[in-house]
Amino acid sequence: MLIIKNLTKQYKAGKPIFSDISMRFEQGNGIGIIGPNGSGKTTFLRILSLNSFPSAGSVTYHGLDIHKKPNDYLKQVGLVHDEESLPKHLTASELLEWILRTRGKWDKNAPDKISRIFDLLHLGQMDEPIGTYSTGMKKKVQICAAFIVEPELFILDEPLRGLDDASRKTVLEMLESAKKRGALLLMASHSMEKVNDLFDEIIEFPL
Amino acid sequence: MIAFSTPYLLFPDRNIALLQLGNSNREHLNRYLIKRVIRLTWPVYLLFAVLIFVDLNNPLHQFVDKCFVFLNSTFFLTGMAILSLARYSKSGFDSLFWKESDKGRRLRKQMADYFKYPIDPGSIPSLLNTIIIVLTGSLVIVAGSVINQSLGILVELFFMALLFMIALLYYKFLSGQMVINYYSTSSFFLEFFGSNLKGEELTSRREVSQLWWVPKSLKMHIWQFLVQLDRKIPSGRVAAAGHLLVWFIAYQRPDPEFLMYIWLIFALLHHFFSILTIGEEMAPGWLFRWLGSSKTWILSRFWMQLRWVIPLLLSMNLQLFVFGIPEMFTQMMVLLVYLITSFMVSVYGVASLKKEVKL
Repeated sequence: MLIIKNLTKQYKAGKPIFSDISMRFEQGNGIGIIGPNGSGKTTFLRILSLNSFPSAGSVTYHGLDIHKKPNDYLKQVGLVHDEESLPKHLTASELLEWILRTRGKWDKNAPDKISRIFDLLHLGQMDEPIGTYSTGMKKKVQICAAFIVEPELFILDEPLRGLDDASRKTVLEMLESAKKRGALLLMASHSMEKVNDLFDEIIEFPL
Repeated sequence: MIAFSTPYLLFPDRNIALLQLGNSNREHLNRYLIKRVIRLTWPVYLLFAVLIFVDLNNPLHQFVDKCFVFLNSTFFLTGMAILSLARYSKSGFDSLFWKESDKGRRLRKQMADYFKYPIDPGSIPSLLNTIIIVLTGSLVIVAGSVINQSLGILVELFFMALLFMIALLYYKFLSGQMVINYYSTSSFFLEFFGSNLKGEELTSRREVSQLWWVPKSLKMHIWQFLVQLDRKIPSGRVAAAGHLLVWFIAYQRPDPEFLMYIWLIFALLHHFFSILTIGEEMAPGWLFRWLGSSKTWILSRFWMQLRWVIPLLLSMNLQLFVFGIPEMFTQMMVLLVYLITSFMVSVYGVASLKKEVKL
């Protein structure tokens, strides 16, 4: 369970992006985060993914203050970042191998698992360096990286941006199935078109 | 240094489109390449001149001997640069053959099966060139030293001039095919360095299990750094070229204190590889924060740099055996400075990772 208590974020004094927000999200739910550009969606998700720290308030996940115990928290999280920055000189399959080894999930079945997830998203060039990929392909790699560790919590900033229709459909199915196994999803999107069914709650920014 | 750096400095040539537009002929391409080599190497001649001639207390002391030493160095450097240019500029066809042929594919598989280290067969001609040039350079240095000690500096000067003449004749012999050699070599290196990378060219990699010298908890992190570095720059060859340069300087019999500074600078330059792993290109902040703690990244980069310690110590000790310097105290100091700065660079890497977090 993710609990947000009196969360405030401001980059400049007296100009908060959002202030004093409190929320509570249960496992197995999908939370949609919508709003126009610059409304604070990404800042909110950056705080939850520890790429930003709150000006006031706290966030706890399963009773763990995420900003005080970042590594214990991040082990349970799958991230799709708002930028498609990935190590240019690794191939997509090497990136996933590294992630699985880091999370202690590398075994003899891991290479097949990697191939399967890339097949799902039609990423045939998994053995070429990421530096040669298009934006959409990088987004697919990020999605695969988030899913391969089977996290309990997904923080997804515009995961469908830059994907073709077939891949969008696949990602939504993957998210649906993650939700069914009890994962909590927090996903920002400009548009809720086609993704409404996934969400149990929608938070509209600015708050 | 020459053996390693020639292909990296000359190819792929960013002016290739202009040369194609101008439809440059053989003479023009030869002149163009020679000019490029001169533009790249003149600081080294300047360094030699400073090393040999600058003596504020007594500038004219042993002036003739100094001139001989300078001419020796100039003939040697120019001869090796021409030899390197000649060998690399004709390597395009062979490289493309090894990269694209069944023979190359078989070799790649054999290397992967037997040595657990697949290599890009296209790089074989470059590797051979590096070995040939390094061996030639090393033999010439050793032979020059023997000649100097037994027959005197004048005979050594003739020997170095002979090397220069042979290199020039070799280049002249190959320059007839310069146009076709230049374009095929440029094309190969363009693909080799990834500018128009497609296919399997860069799939060669080292395996996690090869890192026997790394603790288990850091293995996968150092593995990914090394895989990335291997594809960015052949760090082993760069370091080897650096060692040769230090040996070349040691061969000039400099003051022990001066050699100590050279070793210190060289040791510090190894951190260039560690610094390369800090940028967004190899270490996107969000990913690294997701996958590891500050402690993980400090230890990983520090441990990664330990791989250069044994070559450094071996090279310094061999030099102590051959030239009588650097002494053990100097070696320990170089090692200590290397380890401390290695740790500092690792800390800097983590600091820049934290800098991205918006407070």
